[in-house]
Amino acid sequence: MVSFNKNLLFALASIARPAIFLGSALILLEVAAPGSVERHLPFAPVCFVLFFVGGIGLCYIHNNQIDLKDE
Amino acid sequence: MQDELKRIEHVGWVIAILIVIFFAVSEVGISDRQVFETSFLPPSRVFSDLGPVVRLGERNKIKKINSLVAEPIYFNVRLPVLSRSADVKVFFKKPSEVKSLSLGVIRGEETFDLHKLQIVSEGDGFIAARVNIDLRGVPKRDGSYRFFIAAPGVSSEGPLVLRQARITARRPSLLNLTYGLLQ
Repeated sequence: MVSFNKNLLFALASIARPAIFLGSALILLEVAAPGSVERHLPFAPVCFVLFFVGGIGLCYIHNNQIDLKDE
Repeated sequence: MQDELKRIEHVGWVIAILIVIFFAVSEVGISDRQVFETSFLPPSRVFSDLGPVVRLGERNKIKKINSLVAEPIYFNVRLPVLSRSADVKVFFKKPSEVKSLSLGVIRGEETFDLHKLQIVSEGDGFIAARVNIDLRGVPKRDGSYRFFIAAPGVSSEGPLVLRQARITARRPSLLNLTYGLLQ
């Protein structure tokens, strides 16, 4: 079984939602204005990393029932 | 631990929103003109390398010079998507065999626009020449415009030395853009 460092998982969980938001925004920008993101950074690898981080983070939040809502 | 997570998440949101704002501003721009500069060494995400390689002679990263021994030489440029025209300025040293220098932009498989470069200044051993290119209707490949330099007469004995290219991309003002969208 693959095991992850708990602190790393906490860190991923905390930036999961911003990472998914950023990945989606970058895709929208690149679709609306082709080359706008690619001009500054490698678009595909960056989006992959953002969604990978976001996915793992969201799974951790879901499995551990962490409540990140503001009171 | 949950409080810590929330704090990190808030920082993450701020960073994500700042990055999105940066990309939006870099594309639309505060000003209606954006300047991009290169010596082609090394290539950047905005400017590709010069090519094909077989038409290039000596290149020096420190002196920032590229020798062109055959023509045409191609390069790709990623400009903001709203760009309507590009003011291209190149700095070069030409052999006596080369009478004139032209800059072209690829329009299709076998179509292109060719513009003669107008000399604007001489000094430092290099000549500065510029041309304005209308980008309306020019197709892009992978988000890039494909330019080329034509210099009939260059050879390995008399190469053209290219030092720098500076492109000023212009777009209509935000007022005109908004007016155009509303129409």
